[in-house]
Amino acid sequence: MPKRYRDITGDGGSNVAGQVSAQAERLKARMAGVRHAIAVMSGKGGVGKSAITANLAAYFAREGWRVGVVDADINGPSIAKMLGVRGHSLSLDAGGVFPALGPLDIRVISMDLFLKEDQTPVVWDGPQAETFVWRGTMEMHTLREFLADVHWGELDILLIDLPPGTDRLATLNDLLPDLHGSVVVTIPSAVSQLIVSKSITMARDLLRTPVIGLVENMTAYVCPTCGTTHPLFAPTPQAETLTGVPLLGRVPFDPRMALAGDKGVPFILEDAASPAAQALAQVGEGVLNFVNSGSPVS
Amino acid sequence: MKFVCIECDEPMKFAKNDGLDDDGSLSVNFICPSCEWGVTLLTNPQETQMVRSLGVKIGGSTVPPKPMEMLQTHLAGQRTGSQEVAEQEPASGSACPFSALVQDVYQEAEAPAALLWSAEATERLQRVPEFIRPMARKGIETFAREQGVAEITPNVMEAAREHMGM
Repeated sequence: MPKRYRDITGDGGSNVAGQVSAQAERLKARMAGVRHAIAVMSGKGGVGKSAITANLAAYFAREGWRVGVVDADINGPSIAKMLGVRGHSLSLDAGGVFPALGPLDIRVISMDLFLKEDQTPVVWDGPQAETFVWRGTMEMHTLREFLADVHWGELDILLIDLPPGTDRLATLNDLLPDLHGSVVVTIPSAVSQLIVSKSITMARDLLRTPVIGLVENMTAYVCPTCGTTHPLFAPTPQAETLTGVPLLGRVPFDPRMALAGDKGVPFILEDAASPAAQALAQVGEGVLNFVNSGSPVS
Repeated sequence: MKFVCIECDEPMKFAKNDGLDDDGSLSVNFICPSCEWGVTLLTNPQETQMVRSLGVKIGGSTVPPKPMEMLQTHLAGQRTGSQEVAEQEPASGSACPFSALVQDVYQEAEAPAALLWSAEATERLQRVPEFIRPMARKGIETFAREQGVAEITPNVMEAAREHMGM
């Protein structure tokens, strides 16, 4: 019987399997100081995941929690801007990189902190043809380094802002099998709900990770003058009814929220009395109840 | 990746490499230790890069990787400030024919390893006037490399300053 792969012990010296195992151990050791790791996701792009993440982070920090944020959108990072840490110069010691400190000392890591200029895209050294062969692997390992190689210290909650794509939670789940749950962001459009429902199926039924709840963003426009609300989208079935996932809150569109993000100040801190900020606080409260009770929002 | 000589049913050993081509492709020779029959492995650039993108120390390592090592090693167009995070570990010995070879050829092709800057040294460098900061940084790093120092600390900065007569 000729030798098969398993008949030859080792790989000749690289011990790749051992190194991969060491990577996982390093990540696990780093995450030991994190009480709760929560993903913010949506299969759909442009629904406001990063804005929700930044404001959730500010909500928990305002509650006195020690908060970290990982911008897992490697190619379209926006968290650094929304939390006002663009231009922060990273430093390190032998144990890891020190995260940037945003409002209320929110600890932040983002690819944005590594890129040279505003216009600089993420380009990896290597053959620039057929990059699809290896690019995804690079991005996954970058996320691993964001989680494992940052001095997060003791955190009460680590929020991970995922990029669009129904597969992204699966990647994160490979890295963090003990992920505590995910918050799903959608907008009240049929297209968004169609895609988001796939993400929920992926999270709940295939990966079997807790889905904490839905955030319906940009539900209506609040007139800054008279305070009346007007729908932004045509009426659609209730997202929570479609997906069977509890609703954490409906956040109305407020142009000042976008402006606050551009300034690097979470809106929930800038105008706490506004309807949008109050809706964001309601979302935060729902997540808080989940992490305190360990059960899905009802 | 392993190779077995069909005739002898023996694992083949790395014999020699013909290096990395301009496009990133590789040519690697293996020989059976029993009958000395040889084969050549040819990889396309994507296959070569795939090995690099696994986030492991190709060729094996006896020390843990540096923080953000993969990102710092492979990301093009990084901020100058983020170079503080960069350091590339020297290659360690390996008997793995293919992966060791990939490591070796990239070691030859890549720039000298960046140095580690401690938080205190980084803070101190920030106090240097901006217009001469790059020159100061370069001088300190050149001094550190000459001295075989892997990490810039305030003491190293002080020694560099004295060395440069400043």
